[in-house]
Amino acid sequence: MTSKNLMTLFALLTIVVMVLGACAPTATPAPQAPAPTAEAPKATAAPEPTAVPEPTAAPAKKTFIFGAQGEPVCLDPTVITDGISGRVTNQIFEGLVKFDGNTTNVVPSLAEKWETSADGTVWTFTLHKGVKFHDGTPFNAEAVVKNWDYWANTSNPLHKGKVDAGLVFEYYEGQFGGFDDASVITKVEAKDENTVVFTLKTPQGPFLNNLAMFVFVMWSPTALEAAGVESCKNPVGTGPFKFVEWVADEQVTLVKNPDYWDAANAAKVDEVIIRDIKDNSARLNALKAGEIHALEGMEPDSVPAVKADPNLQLILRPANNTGYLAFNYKIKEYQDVNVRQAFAHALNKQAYVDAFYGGLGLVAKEFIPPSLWGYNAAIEDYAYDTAKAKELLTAAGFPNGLTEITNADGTKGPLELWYMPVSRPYFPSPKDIAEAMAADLGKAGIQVELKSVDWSTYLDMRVKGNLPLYMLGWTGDNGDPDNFICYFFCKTGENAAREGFFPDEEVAKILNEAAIKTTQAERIPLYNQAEQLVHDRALRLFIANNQPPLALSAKVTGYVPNPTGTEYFNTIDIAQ
Amino acid sequence: MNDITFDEISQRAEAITTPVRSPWAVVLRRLARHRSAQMGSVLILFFVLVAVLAPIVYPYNAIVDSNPVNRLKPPSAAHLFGTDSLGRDILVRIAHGARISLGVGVLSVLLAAVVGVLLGLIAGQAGGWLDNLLMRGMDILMAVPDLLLAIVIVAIRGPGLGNALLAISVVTVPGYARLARSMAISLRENDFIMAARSLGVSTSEILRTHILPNSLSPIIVQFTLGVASAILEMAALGFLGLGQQPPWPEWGAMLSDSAKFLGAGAWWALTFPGLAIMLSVLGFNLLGDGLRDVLDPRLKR
Amino acid sequence: MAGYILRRLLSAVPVLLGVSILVFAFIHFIPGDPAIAMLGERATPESVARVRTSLGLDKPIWEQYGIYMGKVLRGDLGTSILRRDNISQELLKRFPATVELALAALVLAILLGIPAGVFSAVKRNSWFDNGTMLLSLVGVSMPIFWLGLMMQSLFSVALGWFPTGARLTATLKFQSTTNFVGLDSLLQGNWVVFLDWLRHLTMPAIALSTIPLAIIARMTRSAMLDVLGQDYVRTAWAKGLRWSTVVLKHALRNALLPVVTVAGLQIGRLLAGAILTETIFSWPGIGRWVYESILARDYPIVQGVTLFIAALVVIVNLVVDISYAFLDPRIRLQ
Repeated sequence: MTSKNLMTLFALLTIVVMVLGACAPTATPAPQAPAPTAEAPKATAAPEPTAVPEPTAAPAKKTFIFGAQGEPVCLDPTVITDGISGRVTNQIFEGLVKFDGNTTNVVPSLAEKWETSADGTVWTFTLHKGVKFHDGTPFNAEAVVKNWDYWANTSNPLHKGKVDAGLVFEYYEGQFGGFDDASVITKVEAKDENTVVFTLKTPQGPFLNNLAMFVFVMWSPTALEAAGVESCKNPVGTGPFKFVEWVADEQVTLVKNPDYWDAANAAKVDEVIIRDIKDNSARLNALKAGEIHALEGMEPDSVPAVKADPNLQLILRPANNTGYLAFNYKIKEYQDVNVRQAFAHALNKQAYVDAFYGGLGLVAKEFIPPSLWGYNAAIEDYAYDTAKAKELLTAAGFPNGLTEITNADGTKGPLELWYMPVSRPYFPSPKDIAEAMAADLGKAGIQVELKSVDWSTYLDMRVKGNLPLYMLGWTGDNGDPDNFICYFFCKTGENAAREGFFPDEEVAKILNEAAIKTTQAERIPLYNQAEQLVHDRALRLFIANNQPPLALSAKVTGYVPNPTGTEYFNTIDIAQ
Repeated sequence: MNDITFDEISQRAEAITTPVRSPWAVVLRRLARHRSAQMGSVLILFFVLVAVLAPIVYPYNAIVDSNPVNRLKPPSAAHLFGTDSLGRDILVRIAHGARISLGVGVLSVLLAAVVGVLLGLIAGQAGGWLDNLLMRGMDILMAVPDLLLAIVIVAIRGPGLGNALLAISVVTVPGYARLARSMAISLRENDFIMAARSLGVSTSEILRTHILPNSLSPIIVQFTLGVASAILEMAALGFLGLGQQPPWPEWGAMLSDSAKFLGAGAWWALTFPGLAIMLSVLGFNLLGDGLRDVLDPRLKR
Repeated sequence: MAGYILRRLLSAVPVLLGVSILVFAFIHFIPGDPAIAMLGERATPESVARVRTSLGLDKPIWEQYGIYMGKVLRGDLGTSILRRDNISQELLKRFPATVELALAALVLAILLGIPAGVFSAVKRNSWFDNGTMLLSLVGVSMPIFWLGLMMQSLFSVALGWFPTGARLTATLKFQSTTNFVGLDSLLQGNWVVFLDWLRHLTMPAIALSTIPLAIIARMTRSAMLDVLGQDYVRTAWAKGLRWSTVVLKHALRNALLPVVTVAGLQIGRLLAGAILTETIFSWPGIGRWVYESILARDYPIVQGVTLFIAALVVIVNLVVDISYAFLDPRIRLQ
């Protein structure tokens, strides 16, 4: 080898690198010579920079690829609360009822009809005939009974096994009051093969809406028994898609259920892949590059670019969430309504909505979002008024502003504002919003110190009542105002550490009353009244509602975003 | 830079065995003529000036600096480096961020150097089981990759500037301990020190005239290069959200904030903080390189 | 020689033991009860007690350590909190991805670094030498995550040459028997998968290679300068041997020894760098896994992976030391 040869080596390496990149589109043509293990590699592994090519170039098989913000926690929907897992299980499982399209209206699913007794405590569901689970087990009234027993009976070995393994039935407890004797549903009986009767302890306003949630769906009893504690990894339902595999940190693959019971609503694509791409910009880049067909979780600043791109389409999920700033009432200063109102006047919410929501947000003045019934349109929001905020602080005894707080034990500490380390639909960029709020509060003489910690610790601190002043929010689960406001304000004081020891008995009483009424006409005035009190007393500061954007390839049709955050993929098709 | 090879150790040992006459004047003169040392010094001086002058030229309150209306504006006459997602001037934040990066870089390495050299000298002087114990302890720390160890330490103690500084110091200690120990051993058994001792020169005299000047040079080199690594590690921790908390500007955290806006085409928000990190680290690496050349007689052939 | 190897092997034992104690202690420094972390917010006191018993948390700490180490020695790293995975199995699934990335980076660093270093030494003080040395300093001064992001925005977003992340295109179905996707696809002659894998590997490998590349180039240069200045090389010149014979046959061969050592010692650095690189490029290896586990407070994973990485570093250093001793008898005498 001479020096020339070394130079050649350099050149060669450079060429190899360039070839790999630039020439790849031609290097990996359509699927020829299908290797034994590569099952129809219909890959345009190398998309061209300009035109977004179709990842599923093979004529026969259509694959819909969704880019998710993370990996599922577990694929047994009864023990999860996170939407990333729920998006997957929603395609595999079905409940008795479901939410219709892009609304929270309850429509039949596995039950074709139902009736309720005059006092609202007995619900009789008539089930579809001839439905089979993916494993061939027939779906019938007995299966419904077994599923309910799994949710609600702590001595059921399957339930017990889950709890021992650290998986808890959080939503059942939340929506139906608890397990065993505490459960609102006292019994579920199979009247005959296709009729099942639910008996309630008391009437429950949101009962059907609760049942329509992605959590309360039907497992194949045989598969559930067989999976035992491993149910997270072996989901078997009746839905339009069947589970194929879950590759950790990469993707979940589902395949069309060819024997789906409802032929009219059978899946239009052959396969669904839900990929885990945690980083927002990486996910959007993957969409632009044609590696995925759809995504959720986008930086608001990317919205205009998506709108302008002819290869992409932007669709909005109906606003069903609220981001808030919550006080911890163990802290002496926050017990003073003047201080809380000073905070309310100091925040320029319009500016945050303009800057950090990509033009898709709304200023929130109360907890219930405007799209939901129970919203109180009459409430007039606190104006952005720094001078007024200073006045209120002076009235509260802080003429020189507020820089420290007094803990329950009398010790003083810095005034901390905690922000979430992760982006959520209601706060797409929590850190930016926190910094903007800190700046506004600073102008009003309230000097905050920003703090954050990893997400699970953050939630843990909140549950234990250890966050002094913090950002968080809520996405509605079931289209009932109870799910929004009662979840937070129905408990008070020491029972409500999770809500910063929320102190208002009067509000709680109104909300508890509204929960057991069964007609909207009775319930609306109660929710309106509660919202007015929460606002007047500035019990919590509501910042914004957001319409979470989804970005899709222009070729995707039939994507119907549901306000609850989990939609059905059977309506989706891909233009060739 | 923890990888001290046998080669380097023997180089240093050689450096030590060569007595130097009026060391510092010579070194400075050589350094002034050394190209990469010149470049490095200029870069460092520049960043030090920026750090010192920033609060005088442009007093800055990070808490109230926010102007969402003006967000993500490309570079212009009003904002030379553009603005970030809160409408803050990136140039101002980089300038003030220099205080954090340089400060933490120097402070953490200083802390590590003091602790490390102390431990190393003790180990080298004492020998025996204490030496063994201390050095195996250092081996244990070195077995876990620096960044992973730093992340774990911060995870245990909670994110924040102080904990990040501590974490960087901890991972930097073993390098100094090893270096100081090898020096202590080679000096202990060195001919000219034995000779001086036999001539009745006092211990403090030996320390002042022989050991200190001879042992300082490798430490200075290591220190300079160490600051470079510390700035990089600090930026990595900041990037992962474990370092300085907002709203105070830290270069790594500025980068992770800006990464979100690549999709929106805000290249300036990513480019400039990254350049600041790279150039300041380059400055210390260049100077360290120059110092090594000048202080290491073997490469001066 | 055998004595030397034995000595070195024995000295690694206390280090590994120390690492295991350090790592084990981590989990106990952390605020919060692992049982509560495992059960979540609504855990009842009874279930917490049950889990504590089943995890052995009710035993004295030294006993817990003994049990843990007993399991570790049998290859069992325990169960993760969030998804209750068998950590050893997961590790075996993910580690090959990291090895692929690290090896690719190392190969790249060696293939580019050694020729660059040799050239710089031969053409000492030329523009090539000065340029290479400055570039290599820029290389070690570059924040790897910044480089990764800049490459993504240029080569993926703007130019569309390379995918932004992941290991394979999602629609490609590939059953990897060893979890080394590159190797398996090559062995099976599956070119579609292999090229796809290579395209996904390119950018993270380049990002990860910068620092080792710079270090190897500098090391090669200084080792070559050393050797070129020695008598036998001067003799070779004097004998009128061809340039290539002198440089490559006589000098490079001897200069390679320290270079190989340095290359070996880069393993730890590559594993640390993999945390950032894998996170940015969504590469499904252990670096990204351990970082995400730290964020999710899944400590059994952090504990297991850290222990694994540390053991790896210790073993690699040992192998490097021993092979060095084989090649250079002077070391054994120390």
